[in-house]
Amino acid sequence: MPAHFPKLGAMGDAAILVELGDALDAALNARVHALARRVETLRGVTAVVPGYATLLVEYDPAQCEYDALCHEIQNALHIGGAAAVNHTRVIEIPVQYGGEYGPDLEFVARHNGITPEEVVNVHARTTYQVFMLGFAPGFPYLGVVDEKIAAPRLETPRKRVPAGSVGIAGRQTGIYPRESPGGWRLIGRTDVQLFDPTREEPTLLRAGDHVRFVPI
Amino acid sequence: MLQIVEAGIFTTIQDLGREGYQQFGVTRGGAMDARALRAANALMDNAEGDACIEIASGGLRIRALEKCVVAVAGAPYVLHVQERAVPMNAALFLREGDVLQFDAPAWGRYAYLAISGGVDVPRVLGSRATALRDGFGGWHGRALGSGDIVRAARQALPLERAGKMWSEKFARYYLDDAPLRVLWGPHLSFFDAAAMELFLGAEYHVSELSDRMGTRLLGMALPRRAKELLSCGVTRGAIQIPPDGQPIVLQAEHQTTGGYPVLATVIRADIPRLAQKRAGEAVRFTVTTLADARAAWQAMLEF
Repeated sequence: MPAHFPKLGAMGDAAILVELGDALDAALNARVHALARRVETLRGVTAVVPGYATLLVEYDPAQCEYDALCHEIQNALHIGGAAAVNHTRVIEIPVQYGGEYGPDLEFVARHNGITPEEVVNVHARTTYQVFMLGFAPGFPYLGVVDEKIAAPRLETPRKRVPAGSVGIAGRQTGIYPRESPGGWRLIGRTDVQLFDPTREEPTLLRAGDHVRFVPI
Repeated sequence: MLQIVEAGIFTTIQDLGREGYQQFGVTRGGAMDARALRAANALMDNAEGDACIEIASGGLRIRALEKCVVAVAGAPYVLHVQERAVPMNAALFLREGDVLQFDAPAWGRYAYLAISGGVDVPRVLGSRATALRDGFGGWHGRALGSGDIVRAARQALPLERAGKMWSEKFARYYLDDAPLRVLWGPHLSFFDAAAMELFLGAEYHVSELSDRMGTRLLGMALPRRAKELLSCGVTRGAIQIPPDGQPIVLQAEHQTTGGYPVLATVIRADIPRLAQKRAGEAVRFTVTTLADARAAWQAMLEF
């Protein structure tokens, strides 16, 4: 059955989920972020939460009504269409690959029938898009990972993934900002601080940014 | 000024949470029972969003290091100042050296101690709530422990400004047996009509594994389509259905995004009622409308 996008639907009485599509696609994701910038200033909107292909809009029902807000969001969708996000930043993340920092690097290599060095080369030569932040403050979901180094999550997540660990899950790559449980395949580690709650813009990376990993 | 003598479990500083940072992966957090927090603040003539101490279990003992006025609202903890029984839902005038003791309530889980002017800790990302999982906010990002000294913004409240509340009327909201009200969706494409009917007909029980991130429910496994859902933003009250079909209702410290489809979402007005349910308690659901949800929110705030 064909899906019709964009779709807008309530998630409870104080949030609206806007679905722009259902694919892991950089251009689709760029439209999510363009929409987020337009919607976050609407009256009554208290938060916008970008996803891969969706935008959650939280609002205060005392300040705006569901129907009127949906109408405003529809308007915002039609302005600019596929307009790209302005001022896309490229952030470089230095990474120590392999060894004690990348306990799953060998697995990723074996899984794909290539050497660990080739995994590192492929991982580091792609410019990734930050599709969204979630799971933990500052945790970036980056894509799209080259098929040559895609790898499934661990069957049983590790109880403790060290802070700064760089991981792969499917065609996504990401960085754990702090120690936490985690199921991604770890291939390296960075020292870079991804989250600082004392700053008004508390994360190094924003959804929509571009990221390159630099082997050190 | 209050000093923690014995901390109890998960005694934390909370307010109404941090708004606007979810896009950075920062959970909204805040009180598990926002109704009781607001009520405690109203008793102290505080702003509704002033920070309070959230009490999640009996055993807490607090000593007043100087005279102060506090109030406790929420689950009916049994309160004593030394040997003297003192009431919930009323201004309590503590003298220097008084020790206020909390013993387990007959129902519910969470209560809020408000102090005149609000608990004074630095705001982090706009809020004084403790982000326990992430280690920031509130009391240095952790639960309160013995020896910790909690300060208030003001020291005394004129007697005539202390609020009043009727305990029975306040409690009625929580003891209401009616099903929790939800709005459908937004991921209805994952569920067929039979699953939706099952959901409305089922009685679930709160799992012991429930915590500040979510209320886990045990009962009828809800069938859902096996297809993958790309992670999307989620809100408090959203009812996620993981592959095992056991619903999870997102609570205060839920992650900002999730990959499980959301079948329905509990309306804001019924979230405090759910948050106060203990392991083993029964939960049922019913569908409502946006208009009714709006009216329910107003009604919930009358205490």
